[in-house]
Amino acid sequence: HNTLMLQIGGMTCSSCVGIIESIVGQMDGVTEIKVNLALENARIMYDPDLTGARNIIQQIEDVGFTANLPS
Amino acid sequence: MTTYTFNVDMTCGGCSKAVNAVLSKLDGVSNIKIDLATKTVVCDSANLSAQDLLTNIQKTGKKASIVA
Ligand SMILES: [Cu+2]
Ligand SMILES: [Cu+2]
Repeated sequence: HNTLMLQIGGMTCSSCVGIIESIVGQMDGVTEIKVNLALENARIMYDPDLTGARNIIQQIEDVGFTANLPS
Repeated sequence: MTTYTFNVDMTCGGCSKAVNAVLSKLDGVSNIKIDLATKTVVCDSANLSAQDLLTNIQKTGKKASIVA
């Protein structure tokens, strides 16, 4: 399993965290997601045979937040 | 074309944006109107049922129900 760290933009409260955890958590291949509101980041564990960073970022942007690989 | 109304437990602009984004992505959904204060989501669809729309709204993890 791979671990992906992403910077997340646009979260304003704990319910935004819930949206991202829910939408990414339902993706095929994602086994774990932990979002940190204060640090504006997410730690995602996924199976690289089933999904990848590009898919996960797309899914987050599809619900109106921004996601970027940490620079 | 049918107009559907849902009650969705939204608490901030992030929630309403997410619900709007999920519905906009669906084929054949138009006229999405979201009122955060009354937690109401209204949209038109010709091909999707209220239950289909509800299932998609619930992907955001929000509690939602069909009003009409
Ligand atoms: Cu929020
Ligand atoms: Cu919210």
